[in-house]
Amino acid sequence: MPHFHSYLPPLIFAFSFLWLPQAHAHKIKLFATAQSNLITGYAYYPGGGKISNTTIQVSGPEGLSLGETTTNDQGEFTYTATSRMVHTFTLNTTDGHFATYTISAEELSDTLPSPHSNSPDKTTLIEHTSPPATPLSISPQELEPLLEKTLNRHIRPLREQLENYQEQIRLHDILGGIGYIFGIMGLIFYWKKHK
Amino acid sequence: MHLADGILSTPMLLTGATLSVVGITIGLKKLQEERIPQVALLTSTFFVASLIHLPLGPASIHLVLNGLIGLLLGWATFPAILIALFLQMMLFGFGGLTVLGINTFNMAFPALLCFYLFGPLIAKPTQTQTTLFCTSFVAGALTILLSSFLLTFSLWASGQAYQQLTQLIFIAHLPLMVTEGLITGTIVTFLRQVRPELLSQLA
Repeated sequence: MPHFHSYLPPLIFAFSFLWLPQAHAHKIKLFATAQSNLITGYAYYPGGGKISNTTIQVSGPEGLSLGETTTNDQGEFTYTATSRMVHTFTLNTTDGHFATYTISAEELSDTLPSPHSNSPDKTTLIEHTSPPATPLSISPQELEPLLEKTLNRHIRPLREQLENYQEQIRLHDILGGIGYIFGIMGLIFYWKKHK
Repeated sequence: MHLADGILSTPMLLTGATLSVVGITIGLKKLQEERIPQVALLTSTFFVASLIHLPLGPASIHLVLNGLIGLLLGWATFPAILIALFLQMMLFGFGGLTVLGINTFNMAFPALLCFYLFGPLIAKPTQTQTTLFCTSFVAGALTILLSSFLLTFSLWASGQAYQQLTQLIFIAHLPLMVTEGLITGTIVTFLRQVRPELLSQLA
């Protein structure tokens, strides 16, 4: 029988390269956007795979616990904000992975009460201004959610793309890392020589 | 295999860091000048291996190859893994700064154990190809098993539920044990054919 070991290395290497573009399970990530008072998002492994049926903790400023939400089969979750403040979503999968995502107060609808002041209600402010004389005559109160919805729909894919772009491992990072390792090797050589 | 920041308790982090510092000090003291290039080569191997993903099990896992590195490097595994983990953190965002110590220990210590357990066996020139393959298979697989045990232990000692952990970590690492065993076996038998002197120095 020929040594089967002799053709195993090329085989393994061929398979390794098939696997290279796969998911990166070194970490997990959360993504969320807010539209009016509804926060929708999902939990995922960068590069592929959604994290389904897992609990996400929701907290406000200074770690104030606001409750929790659960991801569905597609890894998506929703949370209805009741107050206009920072919302931090935390996911701890208990196997050593941890992710957070923060929705700032500005992203939430300004009709929500603010946690500190007794909400300088913007709706009342708007009511004082005279409605613009458009032929369609949409009041600002009607226009705002419409605009928000449309903008959100167009901006969300962009934000997702940005997040994904950040997660990509680029060839120059890999080569740079190997370069560093050999640089450190040189340093240790130098250090040993001068001892 | 890479623990993230913000999960472990402070005593656990400090213990990991202290043990790693001890390992790295011994590793650097024992490092002979002529072996430095070999250490660098295997550090790069470890650095890149974590990018190779296996779509097996519930959460996809990646190669670690610490068994192979331990077998060939002995105590130098500690500095090698520290450097590779540090660069993985800086360049790819794996793991984190506060967990660098414990992550190094979790991956390097089992590798060192396997060096002492299997190194002398692998160094024997009388071994046949098949027994050599089997010995290094066990070394590679056992290192992953011990590493995942240390991983479980560090999470458990920081207050995570044990049963859930065992399920999540051990089962997820079973396919990895087999894969790493195969790779370690293949590379060691290959090295014996092309560079037998690398293995005979392990005795």
